[in-house]
Amino acid sequence: MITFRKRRMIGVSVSLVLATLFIVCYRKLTDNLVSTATCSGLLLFGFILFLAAYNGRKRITFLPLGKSSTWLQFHLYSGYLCIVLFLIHVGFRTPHGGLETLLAIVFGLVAGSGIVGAILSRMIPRRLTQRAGTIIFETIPLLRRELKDSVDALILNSIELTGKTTIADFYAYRLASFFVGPRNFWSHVQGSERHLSRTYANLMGLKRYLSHDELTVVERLADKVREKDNLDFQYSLQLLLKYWLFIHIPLTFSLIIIGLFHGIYASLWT
Amino acid sequence: MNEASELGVERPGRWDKPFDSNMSDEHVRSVLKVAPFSLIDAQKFPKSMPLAGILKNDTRLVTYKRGDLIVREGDYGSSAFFIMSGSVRVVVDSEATKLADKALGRTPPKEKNWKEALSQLWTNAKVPEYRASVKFVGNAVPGGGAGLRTEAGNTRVFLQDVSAVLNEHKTVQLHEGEFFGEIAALGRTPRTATIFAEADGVELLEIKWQGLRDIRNHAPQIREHIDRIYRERSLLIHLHETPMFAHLTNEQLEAVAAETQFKSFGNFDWHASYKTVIERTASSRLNDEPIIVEQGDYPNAVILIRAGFARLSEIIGNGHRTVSYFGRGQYYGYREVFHNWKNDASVPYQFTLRGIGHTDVLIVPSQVIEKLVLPTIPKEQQPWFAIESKTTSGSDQLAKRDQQNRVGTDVLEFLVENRYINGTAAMMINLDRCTRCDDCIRACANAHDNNPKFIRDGKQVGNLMIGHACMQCQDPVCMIGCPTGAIHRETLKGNVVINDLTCIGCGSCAASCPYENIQMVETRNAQGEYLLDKATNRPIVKATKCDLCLEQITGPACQNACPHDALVRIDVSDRIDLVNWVKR
Repeated sequence: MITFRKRRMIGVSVSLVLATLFIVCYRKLTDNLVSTATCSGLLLFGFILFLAAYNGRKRITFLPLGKSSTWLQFHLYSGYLCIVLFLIHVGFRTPHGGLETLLAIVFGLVAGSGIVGAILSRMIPRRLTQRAGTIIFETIPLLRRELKDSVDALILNSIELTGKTTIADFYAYRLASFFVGPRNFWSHVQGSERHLSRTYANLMGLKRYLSHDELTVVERLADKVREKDNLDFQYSLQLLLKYWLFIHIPLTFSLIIIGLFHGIYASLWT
Repeated sequence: MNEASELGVERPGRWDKPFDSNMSDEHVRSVLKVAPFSLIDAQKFPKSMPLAGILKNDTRLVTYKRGDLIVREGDYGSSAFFIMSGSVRVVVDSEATKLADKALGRTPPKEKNWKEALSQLWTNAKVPEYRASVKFVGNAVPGGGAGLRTEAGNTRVFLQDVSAVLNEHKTVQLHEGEFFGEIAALGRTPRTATIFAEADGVELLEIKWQGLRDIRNHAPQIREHIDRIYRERSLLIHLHETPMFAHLTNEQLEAVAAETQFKSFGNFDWHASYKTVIERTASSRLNDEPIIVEQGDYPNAVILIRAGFARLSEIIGNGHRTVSYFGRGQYYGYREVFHNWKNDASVPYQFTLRGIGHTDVLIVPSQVIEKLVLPTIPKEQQPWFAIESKTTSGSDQLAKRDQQNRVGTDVLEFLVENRYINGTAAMMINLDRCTRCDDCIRACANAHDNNPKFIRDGKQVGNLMIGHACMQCQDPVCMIGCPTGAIHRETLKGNVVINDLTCIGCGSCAASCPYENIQMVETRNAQGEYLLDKATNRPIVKATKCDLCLEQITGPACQNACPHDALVRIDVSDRIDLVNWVKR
């Protein structure tokens, strides 16, 4: 079984060799005043079609078309090579003209979203595992609702138990909205816990007004806050992992359509 | 006081619930009149477990009609049979497996071709758990047609054309006073033949394995009978498959077999108590695991695992640390015996070997090994590793062991404690790589008519998780108790699969699976409406589980669909594969 490190080394090495080969060919041809636009354009478009085919492979799971992980490796390194091919195709200059600029922007967004996605796919799973193990994304709304119900019950019980509404008031003004839905998306993405520290600080501040019985309730409330924060953490990061593809894939198909149009247009006018 | 008296309850006893409440004292007396039970000295049984008590609580009398299948080749069972009256037929020819499959409406699995695989794109059902048909109807094929009938709450499978079976298959007749099924029952091995009743009114005494074990322990004639059958049928094959004995001649192997002793450890029904046992502390669980050999004892035998699993541990401080686990075919003690044969200074057993769940072992005395095996053993069969010095400090040992295991003790303990070592295709997920994209679940659903067969959730250790997918256990306890043989090992790859048409939805397999990897689902028609039982008006349920994509040309769809190599179907007993994957 080949190790990930070895696989990465092979992938990077082969990609570097091919990228160098593309650049050397480009230099040789341009030095001899041969236009590379058509050749590099077709090659680039072929690469893009191959990259887009991965989405189709993911849907056709019952044919022996190779492991999805193998496809992903080809997808990643072909994607990097595409950037090199793109630079060769535009002649290492900034694009000009409306269509070219649009195409370059869309290409940049597809490539950028792909690279960001690859990085997220490597970084986020570790963070998810380290903090809270595994919660199935689709069950999070249900778990959130159950948690909210248990907190509501805790607060109502505290009123019955203590005869005071101090905690209930605090909950209604400061915490109720926190338990209703997903919160602090960007804080979780950035790995910040400031929002949690702030909530804890507010809870600590409340303690000076509470009786012994109420303090017990506040401690349990703090546990619930931590529990909800874990759910938000899982929700935010899993959402990011799932939805970056919603940018990458539609843009890819836009790129194919615009690229096709660009190819036809270029072939007609050159 | 009241509270105290309410807390005081009677301790549950083994015979609180007899095997069959209809087994009366009169029945027991009639059994005791028949040989070999009439020859057993009842005085040799302990007062707490008299022979009559065993017969009353651990046996039952069952009457079969002509053609009724009693045991089916390949099935697992936890009881043996004694013929009280009538005769039965054992199908012994090479077509017996086909008979069992055909008779039970099992279609031998067939891998899909490209066209069939691709057609799943448009032929997969649009509603969950859709079934075109939910019931097996005997196909009346001569020699193969079978039917289901219910009698006194029990579902029986019967052959419709016994004469055709007798004409087309080679069979052996067993008569009154003969036992069958005892090796499979005691050894937790699949039934080796299909047996059916030859005529109406065949009366059999069905003996639970616990009863058989206790009778065997206290009645020498029964013990000799069972041991003789095992020696005749299985022992030589088992020894021959053991690498240590591979170089021996047939005569030498027979000499080893003659000296080999059998012993069982632990609880046969370990799966029933698994969920409560797993909640207890590690040391408490360990204390309950029976010791087969103990660290520090003189190595007077090599222990071969015949069935079940064993844990190898070493003393660290006041506790024990798991260093390895063994399954069927593996052995312990050879290295120590070899060392003592080769050197003047002897060493004791270096580790403690314990039975996990239920473990059947073969004990080969060291004198036999020294006399017959070691003098002629080829160099490549000799243990290449030296006995470690136990004078090194505990932490040194820990570090060294960690390096050897590489997966780390936490993972090893996790796999053993949770009995995942039972899995030959456990779904292991590296959570550090899993992006929770659910491509695995979608692929599984695509391969199974849009019904995923596993849950991407389960117990975790560090960054590893074992998902709720059928592990294709070495010891498939789910197969014990299936009344129709719907859950069985198929003949193509040996996977445990469920025959949907003969599954009656009793839930016995789902309840038996210790890992909660079998689900009961409510079936629907093409419109998505629940299929209702005419008699009860309740939905018809079926057991469902992962079949390892047996019919797909791609193999396990989940593993193939994982973009990040985060999921693998792995044989946990294959330590090399396990270590390579975990450390990848």
